[in-house]
Parts: sequence; structure tokens; C-alpha cells
Amino acid sequence: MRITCSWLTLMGSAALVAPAAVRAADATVTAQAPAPVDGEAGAVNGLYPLWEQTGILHRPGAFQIGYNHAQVGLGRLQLGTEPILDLHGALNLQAKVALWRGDRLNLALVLGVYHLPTAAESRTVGNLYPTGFTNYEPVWLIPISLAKSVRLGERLALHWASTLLLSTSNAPDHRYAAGGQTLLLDLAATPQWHVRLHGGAEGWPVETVAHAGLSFGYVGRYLYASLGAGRRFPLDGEPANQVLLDGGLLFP
Amino acid sequence: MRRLALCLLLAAGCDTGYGGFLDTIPVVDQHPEQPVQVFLAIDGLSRAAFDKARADGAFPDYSAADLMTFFPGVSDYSWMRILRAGQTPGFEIQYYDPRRNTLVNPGIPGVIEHPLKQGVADPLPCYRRFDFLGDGDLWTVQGYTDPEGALPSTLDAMFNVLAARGRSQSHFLGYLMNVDVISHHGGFARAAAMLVEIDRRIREFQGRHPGRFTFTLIADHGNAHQVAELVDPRQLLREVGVTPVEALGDPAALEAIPIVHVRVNFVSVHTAPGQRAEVAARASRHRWVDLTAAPLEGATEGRRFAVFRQGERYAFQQRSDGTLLVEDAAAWAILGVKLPVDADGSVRLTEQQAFAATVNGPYPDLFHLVASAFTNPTVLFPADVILSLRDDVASFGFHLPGTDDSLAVDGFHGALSRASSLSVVASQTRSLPPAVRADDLGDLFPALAPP
Repeated sequence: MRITCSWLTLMGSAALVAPAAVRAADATVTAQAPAPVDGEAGAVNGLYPLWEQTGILHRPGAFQIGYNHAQVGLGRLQLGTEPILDLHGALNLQAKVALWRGDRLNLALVLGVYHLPTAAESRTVGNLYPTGFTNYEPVWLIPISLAKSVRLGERLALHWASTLLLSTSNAPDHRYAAGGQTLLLDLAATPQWHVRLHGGAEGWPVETVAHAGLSFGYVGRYLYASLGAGRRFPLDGEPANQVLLDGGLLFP
Repeated sequence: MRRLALCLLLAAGCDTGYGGFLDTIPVVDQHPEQPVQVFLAIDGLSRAAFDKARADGAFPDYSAADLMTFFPGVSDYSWMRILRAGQTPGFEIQYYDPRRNTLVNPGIPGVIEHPLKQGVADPLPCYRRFDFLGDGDLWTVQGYTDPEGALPSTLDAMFNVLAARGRSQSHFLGYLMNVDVISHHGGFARAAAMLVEIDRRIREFQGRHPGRFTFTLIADHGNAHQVAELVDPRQLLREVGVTPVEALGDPAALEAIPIVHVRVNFVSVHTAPGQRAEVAARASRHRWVDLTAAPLEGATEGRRFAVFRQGERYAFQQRSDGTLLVEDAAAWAILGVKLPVDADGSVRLTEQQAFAATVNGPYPDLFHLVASAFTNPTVLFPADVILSLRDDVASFGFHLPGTDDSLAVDGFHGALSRASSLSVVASQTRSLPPAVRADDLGDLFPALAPP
């Protein structure tokens, strides 16, 4: 496995530098934003990779550094990367822009850029998580998601993401556009403890896969962790399990 | 061990998330009309177990050939050699480094490292070559403790990867450990039954993807399928007057280093070059030993080797063009090798003639197996002498603390005997000759050993 220079460092630096300036410059935005809700930081990201997104952003100046996500809130903008992918050489960056912030409804546009080096599937520590994906040329992935988050009650929230995935490469077989829809239903037992149902269908028309999953999460003031299991049902393939995993530190 | 633990943690932590991400990327079906050639590498698939499974209705549409595996027949070495994947230091994880005059990876830690390091954290190049090796970090633990229970989920995972990789690859190389483990732990009948189940699952899979996938089974070694007495090679050497040591000293002393690592029915032994013949001759007289083999001095051209039985030496020379000069050819009949004898008592054989002379005998492909055991470049530090134990005897390898030695005694491999070494290659893709050398699999199926 090659450890590469990751966006993590950049994000960390940005987070350390940004808060005061951003708070000052974005005072109007923060004034209009709803008051932070306990446990809301846990709803900033989905767990199902690439396709599951939410309309929630980190509050300005807040940031997180974790297994799947290192992100910083900059008002209506949030920047981030997925450190675990960076560590494998798949450098990536995501930007999330808040389109609408309401008491019940939040809308965000999420744009990601992932660079997968040649033979990305081989850049693992062992050889025990074989994947269907292989590439003989570098591949760029650009997922564009419209994420909608609706608060359905004190305990219940629904996150719905509609994603267009653009793939480009020198290899013709990696040039395509694919779409997907995901739903994430979040039930809070307490502000900290959550259970989440995951579902969706993605990859159409290239390789259509449906997925369903269940995960449990904890979101404290400084710590968050999620663990669950999913099952993928490719239309033309064989079903498979998927681990849903994240965790890390929050810097509110 | 600390480094290994760190690697395991990294493997578990990193690869889960990364693999999960890659799995969600759509893959274009690049050749919907082209069949995918699947090579299923079944560790420890013996010809006998395959034949039993076939008698029970499995693999009816496969062309099958005897597969002449290697001496010693042990997995890591065999897969490295079959797939032409590079070089290993020794035949096993524990090996003797003559440059440092020391044993590397000795004892229980070395045994523990075997499934963890080679299986999980830092696989040998041959195991990196498999498109599917195992399903998750616990695959070796589950596979060793409950090979039958672990099989369904392992096959599920393999078929999932196969169906996905089949969209972009024209061939696929999968690995299954379970048959080898059940052959060691559970015996012949359960190994054959597992093969029947594997065939059933393959047919189910093919039924879901009609005309898309053809399968070829390959293997690394056979299995004697005999309950074995576990013995200590050090005791064996002592009883024939050879001092077992862990580092070589005086070249004139009759001493040797036996590799005692995992349970197999061979023992690789290191000794001073001048002592090879004597150690091999003495060890061959021991009741636990069937044959011994060693390289000899005194070749007129090429290399000279000998097989010993009961202290008697049967020698042959291998020339650089591959032809053999078999000395005292008539004497080889005692090993089941019947040869035409020249006037001087010897016989000259081409590679093909040597293969034909032994292929159906009690020691298939004997000349090639013995010569290549000491010359094939897959192993950096080959043994000086190799003991081929009886089929019902195995080197104990290790004693697990807190347990007796009743675990994993149901069948072994590694020796020169037909049962230990004979495996099978079976294919839905092409017809096969009656017998195939494992060394030739890469030529027969170029996808196995790309240049």
C-alpha cells in the first residue's frame, strides 16, 4: 500500500485557520442558519459510499476528522475529503453547497472529484476485499448530488440524494454517466444514539445495483461512530454484503 | 509480530472502507458475448477426492487429467511455481538461510504467521495474483476452524466478485482453501463431499449466468488421505546417527537442520554439501521414511541426483538439454520405474520418455520432481536433502499449547508417493491430455502465468 500525501493535511490547516475569519465574513449566513441541534453533526454524511449524501452541512468553523470524512464547514460551503481513500492513493475532494436551509428542509449540492490511479483495486494492504472494479488506466470520478434532508419529527429525518456520476478516463470503458437515488432514514433514540435505514438504487444504466442496509451510530460532542451492514443486489450480478463504517472526531 | 499486528490492523481497517468504495463504482460490461474463463485454484485437491466426487455425480462435463505436482508438495511454494510468481526463501515460512547460518521464522510464531501474514496482511506474490483469495480478514480463521461452515459465504463472496470482474476481465483466478483444510481435519469422505458441494454451487452460478462462465480447476498438491502418525524429524535424524542442529558448524560433522514447521509428509533438511549423500542414505533407512532425495557430486555433464530407499542409492544425471542419464537403470524397477537398459547398464531418456516411464507408477514424474526440487529457481534456499515420509507419517510441525496432537491428522501431502503428489486439472474449456505437469499449466493455460 502506498501512503500518499492526503487532502487531510490541507483540510486540517484550513480548519485551524478558517473559523474566525469565516465566522466574521459569514455572519449573516450563520445568523440565518438554524440553531445547532445536538447530534446533527452525525447527519452531515451518509454511510453508503459515493451515492449517499445529506443536505446538512457542518456549522461554520466546525470540522471533523475521521475514517471516511475530513471536512470543514465554511458557512454555506463545506469542503472535505475521504481520508481512507487518500491513504490508498485515491485522492479526492468534495464540496457541499447549502442551497436551502430551513427548519424542516435542507437542500445541498454535493460535488466530488476522485482520482483513481491505475489498478486501484490492487492498492490494498492485503488481498481480502476483492472488488468488481478494476482499471488499467487512471479514472476520474465526478459525482454530482442533489441532497435533500427533511426533518419528519423530533426523532425522525429523511435524507434523499439524487446523484449523477460522471466517469472519465483514457480507457473507453470507464467513460460513462450513471445515475442513482438513495434514501437514508435516521431515527434518533436520543440526540446521540441513532439507528439508520439505508436504501437505494444506483449505477443506472451502466451497472444497476440496489442496496439496503441498517446501521447504528453515536454522535457525541467530540466523537462520532457508525457501524452497520448493507447488502448490494446487482441486477446482472450476485448479491454481496457491504460494511457500513465510519468514525472520528468532531471539532464543533 | 508487532509489525504483523500493525499490518493486520491496517488490512482490516483500511481495506474494508476502500474496497467498499470501489464496489459502489459501476462497471461497464465490456464483453457481454464473450465467455469468461474461470480458474478455480483448489488447494489440496487430490485426484482421489476428485474421482470420488465425480463418481457421486459432480463435474460431469469436465475434461480431467492427472496433475503431477511438485516435490515437496506444499502450498506456498507450489502456487508460486505454478503461477510463476517469483521466488520464496524456502519451501515453508520457516526456512534456513545459509548465508546467515540461521533458521528464520522458527517455532509457533512462524506457524501463526503462516495464515496471518501470507493469508491476510502481506500475501506472497502468488496470492496477490488471485482475483479472489478470501472473504475478509477472518477468512483463514473461519476456514481453518470450520472449513465446511465457512464454505458457503466464501463461495458467495467469490461468485459476487467473479460476476463483477467478469464484466471487465476475460479470465478470473479464484482461490479456495477449504478443501485442503477439510482433507487435513476431516478426511477423504468430507473432502469429496465438499467438492460435490462446490460443483453444485458452480452449476447454480452458471445457471444464473448461462453461457457466460467456463470453469477450470487447478491444484497445488494432492493428499494421501491417510490418518498419520505425527513424528519428530529431529528424533528421526538422531536415530540414524545424524545430529539435529539449528545452525551448521563443522562441515565434517554429521549434523543437519530439519525444517519442522507445518504438518506435511516431507522434511526438508539442510546439511553440509559433503554430507548430503550420507544424511540421505542414513535417513532412508528409518522406519518413518519412504524415500530420500539429494543432489550428488560427480556429474559428468549437468547435475546429478539420487533417490535413496533403505540405504540404497538410485542415481541419475540431468543434462543441460533436459535429457537424463539414469545410472544402473535396472535397479529402478524397485521404485516402479521400468526402463530399457543400455549395454553399460544405464539408460538415456528424453524428458518425455522420463515422464512416460513414471507417470502411471507409484512415484509419478519421479525424475522431474526430484531434479527440480533442488534446481527450480522458485526457492532461493532449496534443501540439501528432502525426506519423503510414508503416507501414514507426518512431521508434527508444531504442538499447539494446551491441545493434544489429535487435530489435523487425517491426511497429508508433500511426499513423492502417488497419493501425496497426484492432483487433477479439470476443465470445461478445453480437452486435456491424460496427464499434465503442474510446471506446464502456465503453457497450457497462458492466462495463469502471463509473461
